[in-house]
Parts: sequence; C-alpha cells; structure tokens
Amino acid sequence: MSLFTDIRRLFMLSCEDVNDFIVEYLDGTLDDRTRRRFEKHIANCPACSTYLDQYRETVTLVKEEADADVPEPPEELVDATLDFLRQHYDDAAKNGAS
Amino acid sequence: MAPSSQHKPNDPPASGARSASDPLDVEAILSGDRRAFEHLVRKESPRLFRVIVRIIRDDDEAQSIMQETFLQAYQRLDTFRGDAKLTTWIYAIGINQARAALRKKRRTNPMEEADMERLQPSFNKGMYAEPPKEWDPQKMAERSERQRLVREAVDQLPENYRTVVILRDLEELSTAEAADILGISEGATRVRLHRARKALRSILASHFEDRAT
Ligand SMILES: [Zn+2]
Repeated sequence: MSLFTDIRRLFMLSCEDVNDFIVEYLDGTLDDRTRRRFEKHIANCPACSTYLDQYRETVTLVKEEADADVPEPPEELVDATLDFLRQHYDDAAKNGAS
Repeated sequence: MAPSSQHKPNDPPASGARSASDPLDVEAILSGDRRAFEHLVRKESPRLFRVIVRIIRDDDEAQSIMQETFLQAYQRLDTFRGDAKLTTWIYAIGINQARAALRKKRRTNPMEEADMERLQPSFNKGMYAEPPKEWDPQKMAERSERQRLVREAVDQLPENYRTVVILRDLEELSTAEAADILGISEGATRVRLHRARKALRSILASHFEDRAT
C-alpha cells in the first residue's frame, strides 16, 4: 500500500504543482505529458478545478472591465503628435547631443 | 499637397496618401526618413496612447508621454539593435516612461510585495491550506458593481504587476513581446503575471465568495 502510494505520487502532480502550471497551461506552453497530468488532476480534484475556473474568470473579468473602459484617443492625437515632432526633431542636434 | 495633374502615371503615391494599413518601411525609418517615421507615428499612435493611458490613467499626460516617446525613439534610432521588433522597442520606451511617471505621481498607496505574498494561495504538503470557496453568482450579477470591483483590484496592484497584466491580458501581447518591453526573461514575465492574477483572484474572492458554504 505505501509502496503503491509512493509510486502514485511520482506520477501525480500535487495541487501546488498544478497551481504553478496554470499560467503555462492557459498559454498552451506545457509539454504534452505535463498537460495530460494537469488535466487528469483537475478532473479529479474539486479544489484545483474550482481554483482554475476562478482564475480564468478573473482574467475574463479584467478584460471585460478594460473593454468597457477603452480610452478613446483624442481626435487631434496624431496631428498634435506630428506637429510636436516637427518642432522638435532637431532638438538633439541643437543641444549638440549628436 | 501637389495637384494630381502633376502626377506622372508611374509615380508612387505621395507619402501623405499612405493609409494606416500600409506596411512600415523599417529600413527607411532607420535611415532617418521622416516621412517613413511619421507613417509609423500615424499607425501606432492610437494603440500606444491606449497602453500608456491605461498605465497612467490620465489622457493629457498620456498624450505628452507618447509625444516624447516618439521623439526619443526618433533621436535614438541609431541605438535600435534589431533584436526586437521596432514597434516593440518603441513601446518599451513609452511604457517605461509611463511607469516612471506613475511612480512619481501615484495617488493611492499601491500594495507592497508583502501584500502580494499574502494574496497568494498557500499550500500544506502540496494541498490547498484553504480550498477555494465557490463564488456566489448573485454577488457577481451586477455588472457595474462587478466592473468597479475589478478596476479597484487592478489599480491596487504594485506597478510592475499592473503593467504585466495590461500588456498580457488587456493588450494581449505574447509573453515574448511583454518580456522584451519589460526587459525581463519570459520566465520572469510568466511568474509575475501568475502572481498578479492570483492576487486579483484573491481580492475578487473576498467579494464574490458564497459565505454560506
Ligand atoms: Zn488539486
């Protein structure tokens, strides 16, 4: 029994391991073997499954808030920037910096 | 602009007529061609402005930081080494200026590293010390309230964590691009993003948890 437990542990990820892997799992950068172990753990562990759902939900909510709050660039943004640049392109040369 | 009658049929379109979707001529930009550079300014201004305003949360300041960014970039083109995309390099200049400005003017006290640590899940022999409680859909239902909580949570993050969330989760840059902009490794970028998201989850959990369970 205890040998069995030890062997099982070798092949199983702990909840802490699973937590560490979440960011790579969602990025799709886990290697196949680790991804399968990750998914197997999630399927059998309510705590990790709930945590992963809430982590995903958090990312979704952050995006939702940002999308609702997209800063509109001022209309004159580009023209004002080009005016600014044309006035200052040669500043460095005048300061003798280049 | 020159009247079109002066155009010979085979002339390329005048620079002013370039549309924002035309590709950047990086070689011309690097050689100091102002028209090519101004095409980049037209093309990238709206997005760069948006990122900067998300960091600094002030339209006027964002605009002036963006203008300084393009000017600095133009004046320092000879230091561009080509190991990142030119636009990534310019974003790095802008974002770093915005971060410096934010640190100077920070209105509210952001959390500190110790607070971030407290908001990470803790484990005991590899298991959750406190398994996550379910979130109550009723507490999450009110949209404007939910958005206010999320905005407050993001605003509380220390600046380096907030910036990585803005780059990865709002601007949806790749880990590699975010790492180039922040000047840290991809691994460090992922660790920082993960810590930020875990902290945000904890803050939201304190509002959304179903206390009955
Ligand atoms: Zn688990």
